[in-house]
This record gives sequence, C-alpha cells and structure tokens, in this order.
Amino acid sequence: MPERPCVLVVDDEPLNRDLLRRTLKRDVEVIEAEDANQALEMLAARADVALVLSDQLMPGPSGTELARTVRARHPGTPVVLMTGYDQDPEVAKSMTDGFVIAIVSKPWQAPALRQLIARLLARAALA
Amino acid sequence: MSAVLDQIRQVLEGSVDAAVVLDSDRRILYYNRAYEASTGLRGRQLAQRVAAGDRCYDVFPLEICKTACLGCKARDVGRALRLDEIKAVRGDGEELTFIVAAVPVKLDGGDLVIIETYRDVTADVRIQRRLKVLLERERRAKENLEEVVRERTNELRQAQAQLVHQEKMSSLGRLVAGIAHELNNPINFVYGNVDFLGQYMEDLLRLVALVDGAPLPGELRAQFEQAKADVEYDFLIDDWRKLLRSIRAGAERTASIVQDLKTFSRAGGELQEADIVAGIETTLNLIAPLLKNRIEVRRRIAPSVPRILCHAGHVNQVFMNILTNAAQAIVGEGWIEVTIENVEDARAVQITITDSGPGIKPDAMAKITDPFFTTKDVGEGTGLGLWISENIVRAHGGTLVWGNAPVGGAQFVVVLPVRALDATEPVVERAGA
Repeated sequence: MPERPCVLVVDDEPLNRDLLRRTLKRDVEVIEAEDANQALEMLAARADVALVLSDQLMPGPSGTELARTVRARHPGTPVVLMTGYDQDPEVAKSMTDGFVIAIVSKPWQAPALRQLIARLLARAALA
Repeated sequence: MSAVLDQIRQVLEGSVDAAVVLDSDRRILYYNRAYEASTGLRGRQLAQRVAAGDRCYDVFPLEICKTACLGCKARDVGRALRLDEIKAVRGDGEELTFIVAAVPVKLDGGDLVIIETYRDVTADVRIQRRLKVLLERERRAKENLEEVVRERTNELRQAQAQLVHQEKMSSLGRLVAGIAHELNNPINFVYGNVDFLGQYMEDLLRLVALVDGAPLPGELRAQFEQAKADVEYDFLIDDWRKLLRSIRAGAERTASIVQDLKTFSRAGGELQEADIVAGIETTLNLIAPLLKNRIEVRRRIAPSVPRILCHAGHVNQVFMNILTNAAQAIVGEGWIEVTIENVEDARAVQITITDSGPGIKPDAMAKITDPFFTTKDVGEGTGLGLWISENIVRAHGGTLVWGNAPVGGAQFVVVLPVRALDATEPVVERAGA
C-alpha cells in the first residue's frame, strides 16, 4: 500500500471530525485532535504530518493561534482554517501574515474540500 | 344766582372730572378747575371766552358735538345720559378720550340747565390697549411655545425610536450572528454527510443487486424474495433518491438562509471609500447569468459621482439584492434602468433601480422588507434580502424607499450619504463569539 500523506484534523465537534475523516480518508491518512493543545502534542510526536486542517473557534486557543504556533515550531507544515466567519478580520489577517495557506468557509462541500486538500498537499510536496 | 346752581358749583368745584353747567343755548354758566385743564386753555383765556359767550362746542369741541350733542339729547329726553369713549382734541393737539355724562337740571327759577361732566380716561384706554396687545402677544407666544414643544417632542420621539431601533438591530445582529454560527456546524453535518449516505446506499444496493442476480438455492431465494417484499424493496429503490434529494434541498436552503443571516450580522470590516458606480457594474457582472440576453440594462449615470465612505461589501450586497429581485421579476424580455445621481448638494448619492417587471402588488408594498417575507417560489428566495438591504442602508445613515414606477414595474431608490459613517459605528455589530 502506497504511503498516504497524513492530515491532522483539529475540531472540538466530534461529528465534524467524523465528517472530515469520511471526506478525506480515501486520499489521506486522517488523525484527529479535539483542541489546539492536543494538536500541538500530536505534531510534536509525529514528524510526518503533511497538513493541519483546523476549525477556527474552539475551546482554548483558536485556529489562528494554533496556526501561529505551528508556523513557529513546524514551519514546513501548512495550516488550513475552517470558519463560519469568512469575513473575520483575525482570520483574514492570519492569511495575509502567512500563517494560514487557505480558508474553508462553512458549510463546505465534500468534493471541493477534497480537491483543495489534494492541491495543497501536492504544492507542499513540491516545496 | 340760583341757590341750586350755587350748590351745584360747590359739588363740582373739587371734582376730578371736568364739569360745566350750560344754559339752554349751550353757553357756559360755570366750569370747574378740571375743565380748565381738559381744554388746554390758560385760565384767563378760558375766562375771557366764557365771558364772551362762546359755546361749549367751540371752547372744548368733542367729536360728537356737531353731530349728536349729548347735552341737547339729555335735555330733550329729560334725564341723564352717558357715552363712553368719546374723543376730543385738546388745544395742544393731543387726542384725549372721555366718558361724557349730561344731566338736565331745573333751577328754582324754572330755567333748565345742563350739567356735563367729562371724565378723562385717555390713560385707561391706553393701558387697556396696551394690555390687549400684551395679552395677544402672550397668547401668540404661548401658541408658538406649544408649537415648538410639539415639534421638539416629535423630534425627540423620532430620535428615541431611531435609537431603540438601532439598539434593537444591534442586539438582533448579535443574536442572529450567534444563531447563524451555531447553525453552521449542524448544517455542515447534514450537507457534508448526505453525499456519503448516497454513496453508501449505492454501494449497498449494488450488493443487493449482485445477490439478486445470483442463482440462489430455492429456499434462500424464497427467503430473499420474502424479505424484499417485507421492506417494500421495489418502492425503496425508487424512493431513496427522492429522499436524499429532499434532505439535500433542505440543507441547501438552510445553508442559504444562514449565509444571508451572516451577511446581515457579520463584521463590516474596514470602512473604505468605495466607487458606487464600479460596485454596481461588478454586481451586474455577477448576475449576468440572470440577465442573459433577455434583459437590457440601461444606465443613466451622473458625470462625477463622489466616492462613498462605507462598508463596501455590505453596500454591494444591497445592489445585488435589488438587482437580483428586478431580474427575477421580469418574465421573458425586459429592461432594468439604473440611475445614479448626486443629491443634497453632492453630500449624498441617489441610486434608482427601476425594472420592467409587473411591479409590487399593493398588499405586498408594506411588507417587502419584513424578514422572511417573499413572493418568490418556495426555495427561490429566503425572504431576507430586502430586510438586510434596508438595515444596511439605514446603518449607513441612508434611506431605502420603494414603489411602482409610472413607466415600468418596481422602483427602488437608495440614498447614501457620502460621509455619514465618518464618526459613527455601523449599527450591526459582530457577535462576540
């Protein structure tokens, strides 16, 4: 079995994690964290995480805060944010500051999300 | 000298009213000191004229002397008469006002004399007149004051209503933002999962078809057929797609409502100077699929439209809503006219959008900006577009009015002040979530 890239899904909502796993499992290996702190622990434990897909609003540190830390500790791992507030100034700023490489608006559609993740992974692999 | 006359003199001498005693020929038999003052003649002058036999109406002419001599009348009717507010001009030219009384008196010798008294009420009349003016002035001032109070009360009431409305919209904005955000995840579950459910169903039915097509031992075949009958298999394979379609349609409609609510409530972002003309052009491009070749867009745009300080995304949303409605209202071929003018001495921009559709029905006229009011087919509109538009326009200190155009169908007029948002915050705030 060819090795598939690993995507870390960060969301406090279990149903969302299930849905993301369902959506992405054909293309990537999905691992899950329920908040930013757990995500950072998993990133520290696994060096092969190719991409982080995180919700913005969670208990504890937000998605943008997680992205900032990931950028500092694991500069090669891109972060994608999922948010209901696509006009959130904090989210927009994280994109311009370069901590986040893409923003996914909720509600999202499965085919579009799969395509986006595939494209970003291809780009990350080239980098 | 008659004893009666002597008594009369004694009575009249100290009177404050001017008084004369006249004979039947209106010659002056006696006058008192007050009379002297009233005539304005010097003591000697008066005495000389009286001695010379001058008539009372020459010595001290009242306005009535020539036409209706009161003394004569009193003599004729044989009783005292009185007239109020009789004017006379004194020797020095000043106009005076008197109450004049005339009493016929028979002397002991049988002669008839007339006693006339003149009470000077000039000052009273002046005071009265003055009072009247003052009272009138006060009445007007009071009326004025009532008018001013009424106006101010009205203004205050309007300001208060506006404040209450703003506060309401602000809390509503926060509430709506909260709800929209909370709905995001559950909608995503339905929306995202429904396709997997479809895929799983396809997979399962393929398995069933595989079994169905395979040669089965008699007993197993019978069991299989029985189970198919029990679950109404033939109906199920037809119905599941419909079921999935309605779940997806429900989720899509909910998602579009949430999308609209987010527009209504989300942060306005940075204030910026926006080019309204360019914004409308962009919007027209976005709805080009609705216009296709069937709707002609007519533009009447003033040569220099000022840029407007606003939340550009919100303002474009307003035009998007109005233009989409216009395009959807036109059945078959038609036109939309967009007029952009400078109004209020270029302190505001007025955008008028008229379509050739059927217009707004009278019973819908008052309701079109009510939330969830729609005349579109089920699923075509959320009924939030114009509600949101009105709130956005209002938050920008502008106005949105609508009606039916004399030529054509519905007409919407948006007026946006050029710099209304300089100092004020938008009404709708972002939820703190």
